[in-house]
Amino acid sequence: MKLKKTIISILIVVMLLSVAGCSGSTKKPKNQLDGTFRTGSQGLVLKFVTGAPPPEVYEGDRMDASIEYVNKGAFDVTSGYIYLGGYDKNYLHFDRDMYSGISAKGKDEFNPDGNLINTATFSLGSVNMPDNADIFPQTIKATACYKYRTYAIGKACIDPDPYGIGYAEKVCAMGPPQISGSQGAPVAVTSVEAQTSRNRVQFKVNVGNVGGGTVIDNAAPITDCDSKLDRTQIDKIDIRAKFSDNEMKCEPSTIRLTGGNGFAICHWEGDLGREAYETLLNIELDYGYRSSISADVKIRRLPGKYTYG
Amino acid sequence: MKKHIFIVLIIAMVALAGCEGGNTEDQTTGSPYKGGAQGIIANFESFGVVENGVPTIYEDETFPIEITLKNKGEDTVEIGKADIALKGISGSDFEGIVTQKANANKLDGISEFNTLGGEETVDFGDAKYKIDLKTSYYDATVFASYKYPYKTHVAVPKVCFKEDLSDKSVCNVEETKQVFSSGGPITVKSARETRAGAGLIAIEYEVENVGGGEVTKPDAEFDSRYGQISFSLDETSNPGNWECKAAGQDGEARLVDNKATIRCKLNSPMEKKTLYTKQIDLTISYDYRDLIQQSVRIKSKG
Repeated sequence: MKLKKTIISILIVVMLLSVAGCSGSTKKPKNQLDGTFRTGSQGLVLKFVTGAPPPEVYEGDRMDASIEYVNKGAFDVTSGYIYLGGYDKNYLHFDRDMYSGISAKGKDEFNPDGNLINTATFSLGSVNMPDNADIFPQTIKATACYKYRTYAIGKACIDPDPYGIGYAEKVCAMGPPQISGSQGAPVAVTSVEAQTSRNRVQFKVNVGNVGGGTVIDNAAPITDCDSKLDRTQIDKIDIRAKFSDNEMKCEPSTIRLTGGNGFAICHWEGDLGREAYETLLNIELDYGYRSSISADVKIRRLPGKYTYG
Repeated sequence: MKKHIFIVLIIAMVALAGCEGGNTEDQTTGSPYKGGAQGIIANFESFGVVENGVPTIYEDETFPIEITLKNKGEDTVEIGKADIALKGISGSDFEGIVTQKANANKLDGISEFNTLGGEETVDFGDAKYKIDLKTSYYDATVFASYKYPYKTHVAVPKVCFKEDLSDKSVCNVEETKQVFSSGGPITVKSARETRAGAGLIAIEYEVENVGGGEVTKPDAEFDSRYGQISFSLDETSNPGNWECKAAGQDGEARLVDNKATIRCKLNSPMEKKTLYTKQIDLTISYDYRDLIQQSVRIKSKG
């Protein structure tokens, strides 16, 4: 009886402690940007529909190459292109080799995960192959080319007297602006270094190609980008930056990427006032982008259809 | 029997829990002041609808910036003396607000007739974020720095004026004295009377900044390295008979780690057979400054 009472007392204490330990509401981790869609390192993502093309097909059969494309970044694609190539055009005659005017809405508050899927289909009525081959392996490659923009936005402390030992209270300390590591685009601002002096704000903006594809100069056309880009037209990004309503001057204004990385120094000179303050630093990167996928197809001759030379 | 012991134990525990315990000085008995460690307290009024614990507005909406000042100490702040400056935001980012204002009404200190102290809400206008928001939201943090002049009055009721220290009657010279401070962010934590030579006495006041903000001498610049205060004995305490210094400085003290010691010493020896107690009143004058902040989430309307 005594033991039973002791056990009940202990259980009551444990229950009370458990209730006391409840925080009441779920606390979200600090700095979590709820609802933000500017994350990720992709733009237009391509995928072949299963069976289109099929891994194997017989001579004379029809074949489709269907490409699903979805915009996993935060900028709308308009006027993009999808090209089909990589195969022998002497034997495979698709109804078209290019789709133009490709558009795909980027992520936003109503589509935060970028799940709006579109499809481009290339159809082939009858597969051919060389006369003296039993198996004719082909690679079907789909290439997307489109214009894109990266917005990198973060809080920055503007301090007109960063090294002063003056008497004014400082509400923030000069340091790297708080820009998240990915911005919902295949080209990202990887880091920003702040340098402020009296009447001059300066940021070194480091950028990188994080999407796995090819960056195309914003000034270059993206037509025929699957085959006709030359070296001077790739790995270039236009940059613009501003804080508050102040447009900064970036040098160079077109960043050249080396090994997928590059940087520009953006600065602004003028009256910064007397006190430190926080504001948003807005960086825009404009560029074209190219990404590809491929699938292997084995074209087989039907048994009994050998033709010997 | 066991049941009775158990009941007695419970009663004893309840009785112990009801005890104050410790060395709490009873400030209200004999103190001429209400006491307290606060001066002017400022708070932002609500910015708007709260979502997930954060005041939230849309980028095409405005939010009011209002700061309420409450005087929780015992000194009065006259009209226009409590300055408030908004900081941390750029005038290029927000429109519709002023960034500097002062109190339009006198802020009375706490007293027996006004137990809550004076209060005023200062309106800075309706702020609107005027930059086109490219991100889904922006957490702007508005700071307000407020500064006001204040005084802390200090009373040591029973200072012992005794010329002949071999006389053990009436009072003792060498001992910690009861001290009372009026409510304010600067307070005197303790006072000790000591001998300071033949026929001389001294009082040492341990001053501390307990308000959490910064302090400086009246009308002087704030120094981030240390606080500063001015002090003087009241007329009722015959200031001409005393010399008050802190670290060798007349009438001014520097607070290092928020603390300072003021030493007041009689100028001339007491007359023979002097034996009485008297209240000594000291006034500490200063400007006080503190900083408050409030975040507001500005959401993109898409």
